Amino acid sequence: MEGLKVMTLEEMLRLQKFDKVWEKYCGFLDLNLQEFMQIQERLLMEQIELLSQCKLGQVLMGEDVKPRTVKEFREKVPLTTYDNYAEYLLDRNEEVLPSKPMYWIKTTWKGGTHEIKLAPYSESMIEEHTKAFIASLLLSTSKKRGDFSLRENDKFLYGMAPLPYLTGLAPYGVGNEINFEYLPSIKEAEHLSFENRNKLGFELALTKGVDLFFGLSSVLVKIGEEFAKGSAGREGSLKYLKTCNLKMLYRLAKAFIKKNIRKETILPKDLWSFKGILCAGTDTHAFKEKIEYYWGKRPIEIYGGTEIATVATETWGDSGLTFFPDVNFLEFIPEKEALKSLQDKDYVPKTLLLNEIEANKRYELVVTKFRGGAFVRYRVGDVIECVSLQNEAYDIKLPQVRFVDRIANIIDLAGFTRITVATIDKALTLGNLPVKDWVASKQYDEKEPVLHIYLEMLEKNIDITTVKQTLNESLQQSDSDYKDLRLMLGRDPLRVTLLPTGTFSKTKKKNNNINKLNPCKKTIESLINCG
Amino acid sequence: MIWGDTMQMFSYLVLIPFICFVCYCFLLMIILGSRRNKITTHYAYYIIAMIIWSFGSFVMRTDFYPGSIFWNRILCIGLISMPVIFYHFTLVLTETTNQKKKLIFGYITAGMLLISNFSGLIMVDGYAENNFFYYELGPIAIIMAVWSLSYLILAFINILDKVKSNQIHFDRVKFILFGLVLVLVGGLINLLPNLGKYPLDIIFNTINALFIAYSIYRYRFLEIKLVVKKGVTYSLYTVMLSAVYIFAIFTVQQVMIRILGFTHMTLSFSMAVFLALIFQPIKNILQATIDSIFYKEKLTHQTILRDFSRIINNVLDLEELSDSLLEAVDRGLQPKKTHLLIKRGEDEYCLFDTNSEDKWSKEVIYNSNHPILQWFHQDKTILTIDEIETHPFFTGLWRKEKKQLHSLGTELITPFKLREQIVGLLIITEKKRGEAYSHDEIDLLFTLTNNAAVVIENAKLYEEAKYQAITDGLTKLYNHRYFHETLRKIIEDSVYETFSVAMVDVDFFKLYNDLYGHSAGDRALKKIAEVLKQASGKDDIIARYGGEEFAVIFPNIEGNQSLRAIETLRKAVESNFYSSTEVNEFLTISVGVANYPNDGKTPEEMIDHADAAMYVAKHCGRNQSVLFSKKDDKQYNVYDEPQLESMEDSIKSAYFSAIYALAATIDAKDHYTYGHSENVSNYAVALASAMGFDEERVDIVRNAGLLHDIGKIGVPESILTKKSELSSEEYEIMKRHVDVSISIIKHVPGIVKVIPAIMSHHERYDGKGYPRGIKGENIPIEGRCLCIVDAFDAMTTDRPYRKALSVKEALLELKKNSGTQFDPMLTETFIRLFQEGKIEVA
Repeated sequence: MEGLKVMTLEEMLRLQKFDKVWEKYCGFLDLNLQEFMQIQERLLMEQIELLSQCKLGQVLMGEDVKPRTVKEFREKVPLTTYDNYAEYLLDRNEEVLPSKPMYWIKTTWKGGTHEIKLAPYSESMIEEHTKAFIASLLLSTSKKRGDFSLRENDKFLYGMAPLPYLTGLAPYGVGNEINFEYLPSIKEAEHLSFENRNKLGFELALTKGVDLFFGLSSVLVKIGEEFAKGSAGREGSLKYLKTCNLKMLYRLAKAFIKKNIRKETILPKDLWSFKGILCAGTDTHAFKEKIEYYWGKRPIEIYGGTEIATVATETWGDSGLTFFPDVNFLEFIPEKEALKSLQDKDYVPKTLLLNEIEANKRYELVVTKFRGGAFVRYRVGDVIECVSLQNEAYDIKLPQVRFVDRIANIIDLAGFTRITVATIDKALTLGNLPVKDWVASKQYDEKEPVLHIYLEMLEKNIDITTVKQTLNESLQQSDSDYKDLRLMLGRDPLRVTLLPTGTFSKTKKKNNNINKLNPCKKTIESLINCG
Repeated sequence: MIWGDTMQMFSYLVLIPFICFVCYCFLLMIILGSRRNKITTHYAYYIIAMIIWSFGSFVMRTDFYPGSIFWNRILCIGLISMPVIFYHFTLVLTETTNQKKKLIFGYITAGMLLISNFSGLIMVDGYAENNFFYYELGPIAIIMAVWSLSYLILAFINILDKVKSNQIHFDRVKFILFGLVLVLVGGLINLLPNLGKYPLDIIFNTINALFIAYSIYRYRFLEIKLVVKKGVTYSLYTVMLSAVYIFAIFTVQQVMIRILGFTHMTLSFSMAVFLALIFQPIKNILQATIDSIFYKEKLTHQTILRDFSRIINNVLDLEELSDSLLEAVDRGLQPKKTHLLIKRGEDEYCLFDTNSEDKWSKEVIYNSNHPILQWFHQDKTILTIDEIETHPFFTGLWRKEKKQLHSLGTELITPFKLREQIVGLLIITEKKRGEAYSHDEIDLLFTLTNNAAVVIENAKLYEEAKYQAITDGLTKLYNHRYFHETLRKIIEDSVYETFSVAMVDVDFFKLYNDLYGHSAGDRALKKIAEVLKQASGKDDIIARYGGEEFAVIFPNIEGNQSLRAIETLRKAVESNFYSSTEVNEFLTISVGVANYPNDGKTPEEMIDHADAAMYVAKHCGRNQSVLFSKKDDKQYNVYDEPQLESMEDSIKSAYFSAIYALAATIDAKDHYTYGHSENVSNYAVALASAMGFDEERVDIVRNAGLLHDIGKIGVPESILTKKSELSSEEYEIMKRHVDVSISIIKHVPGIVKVIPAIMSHHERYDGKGYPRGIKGENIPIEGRCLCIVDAFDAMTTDRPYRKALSVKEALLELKKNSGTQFDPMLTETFIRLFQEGKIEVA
């Protein structure tokens, strides 16, 4: 920024301006709903101003349409999906955008017209994203308001995908604010596979110790499980001793005594004492307790996505996540409306604002990116639940939400992969399985997410083990992310139920429409009980 | 008590370390009382080391129990730890993080030296005599001295490096550097036994500590509460005064002993009282010196406030007031820059800069809902850039706004409040010398803004009144009076050697008003004013002369240049209105221009001649620019009305031939309506004449009849000739022919007057017609005539979808719909004309 230099996080920490640090990054937790909405409205007006000056804005809002109020914006500007942007963004057409992008962030586009989705990030979007990420990091090291232990040069095990994925963006933005010792270094990490990066990270953590972690919750659970089984750290633990610092030597010695003399199981928490654990991934809430057990620290969940950046963060307690006021303009489609529009493509669902949502209800999220972002009234495809309208225990006067899942036509497994109808159809074709009809649903088996496929076969005497094995193989073939999930976590996320012949035709007589993915509980029960 | 002993105990050799000790204790108290951060903490460690040193030095010289050598060892704790602690302090101060190894080595060595100290390896033995300390150095002493000096030099180099690489400004650390030089010199003196017995090192160290305290305070290395400044000065003042007083007493006592050989309690007491009395003037001088050093600002502030109050009481001009205020702020606070945002209109706070061309910024404008304004509405009195950056209240600031604040160099913002209303904002940058604003300065700022608020409000009201007096309320251009005044002034004061005056008249504006109403007319005038403003130069003076007339003064141009200037204006209006696809935007302007001094030497002459040229433009077909020439003037004057009319007629007839050709095209396109336009024209003329219309209006009706369906050129033939009933969509397309007609006709200047008739020939008397759905008398009478005769001719001719009705049937139909579709009076007249045989079916 021109003119005066704004103090960085590092400088503020050096000068021990802890109150200022908290105010700058986590001050939004002190906002009331009215103040939150005022910020939303003001930043929306800025975004409309930027949109009205670019081609994409004119295409999305309509030529010469420049809403002057939130009401007008919601009335005049239609809801969008990635299809509305593909033509401009996949060609990286900078000319049409509201602001010049610094990075193009990539993600897969399961069920879309192209393999990938790209999202532009302007300089000020990156600043906001960084601010939100730092807020979550501070919160992960904090027990109460204003108290945090994050410091310069903390050792940071960064277990997430590098650029061009969104998770790789944070270290670059954070680098302008504060210096961390990344395990492994960001440059090195860019050339490593996901698995190797995490592996090397934990190896380095063994010698240097570690303060912060950001990664998939499922990975932490997997490592914890391996420790519990006693399989981790067996091979060549001694080789790390040479390079260990004093603190780690002491911890290793303690762990050695615990394991070999007291004959107790050692867990990651015996080796490392994290200041903060930050987790992303759709099923984080399901893994929280396990992570706390293995790692001795309750993780903080951060919710975001490629198109929408960091949207919300968990704070303290179990009351849910709080939205950041300055990243996106937030709208919510009530669940019923969302389902109706899923069945009838022409139906225009109504949206609510954050000050209109109700506790214990589910909504599909719609966002308009601030700060020169491209997405306008964009249907993210995520379903959230409003857990409560405020967090009384910690005096947060803003609605608390929980990420529920992807919308019904996508099954997200532990943040690794997104299964669509096309994925399963492809797998069935690849496996050459004689299937008459099928439905699939995401379920939780001992708090872990699984993909449950209900199949009606054309042949009667086919055995379930063969079907499951074939399906597993062909799913791995057709979806590399699914393969990663199996390899990385070493878990079998597939459940198969074979239904008796005629089940589907009978059920369809009763219910005209059966959703192939995530049909409601009732439908599944009637499918099972039909035979 | 024996005074000799006392004196021995408190000679200057003891007094100096004692005063230093007291000074350090004061500094430590201040530091502990201020906001803690890394810098203060390390500075406090340094001060503690110095307290130990000075205390050791002071007690050591008194040979106090358990003996000088013991206290010397205590002194050495401070002496040994000081260099490395000071080095650590400079690392923190300069934010250096890459010298950890040197620092750790320093602390380890210091630890070893401390062990050596108590093992007697630094000071083997020592004793105090007459407050002098005599000593025998141990083998490690020299190592310790070199080590100490090395760390002090390291500290010096470290700061110097930061200065050289521009990471830290020399001004901010100059006192620390000077202090360090003194400490180094003091350290070196210790190596010379002759000088080492004097406590010079500790004097230099004390000066250094004071320098650092001053730097920390002055250059914001830490946020010492501003009250501390007073504390520091008063403490110093007290210490200095007490020291001088005590010193004076002992000196006088010593002199007395030398002279008298003894002294006495009573005598000493009287002497102390006497000294206290003569100390009063010394105290006053000292106080004045301290005041001039530390409170000089306060005295200046009083002067500034007095000057400012005197000025604002005599000023009503906003610019002058703004300059005075900014000057006062500049004198009092010495910021790099100051900016003023003043409330303008109902809900707008705009940056006001007397030095820029447009005094009111178009960029920096806040409304009352702006977070900065909202902040001050919460009874806050000050806002810092730091708060803007960190406080969640400002999360909603636009990126552009933050950039603006930074590019203005904003450090502080404070409001001008008048009865809870914010009348403006003052934005101040950081101080010229980079130090923090003191409480006193902020107080001065508040006093200035409080005083200024009411004057700003008055000046603004005065400014608004001045603006309104010279501005036309509708168009916001200058008004007639201002134009005359300016023109007179330009001529009388010979402001320009040459200039031009243009008169601008809006063509067919009355027609436009009749057609669309006066509010639409007002909007059109506003738009024309805006277009003229945009198309003219920044020095041109544009005024609304009256009604639909505008006047422009173009400085420093003449002849063809002036013609080009008015042609630019004409074209701008043409492209904004006339070339627009909007039906109702058919306005154009006729402009005439006269040049000074060739065409006239008085304001009246100039205006008359520009006016004359403008009339020539009007009579030559409108939408033209004409440069006045004496010939034109004569021509205009010599032609009489009939001649002018015939000129106009010949222009019109040129247009008409084109229009007839178009009308014929329509008839040819829809052969069922062949001759329809002409029939309608004839019937309409008959009806108009029977209604007693004057010749001009009969003419209008005639031409309107001919042209009323010209817009059908834009209707697809399939719809025009469709045999079955039109679908609703087709009917909508058909209805558009009225608009298309207007779009065509508005381009023909001579016949624009037919527009109202054509536009309303499908309006119904009951208001259910199109395109505007107007009813009754609101429909122009020419349109009501056309409506009847158009329907009559349509009914009495064959159509694709039905056969022609007989005249009787058609007239019956007219009668049936009289009062609903048709004007009853006109219908009655038309039927009567047929009954009386005054019209026949074509």
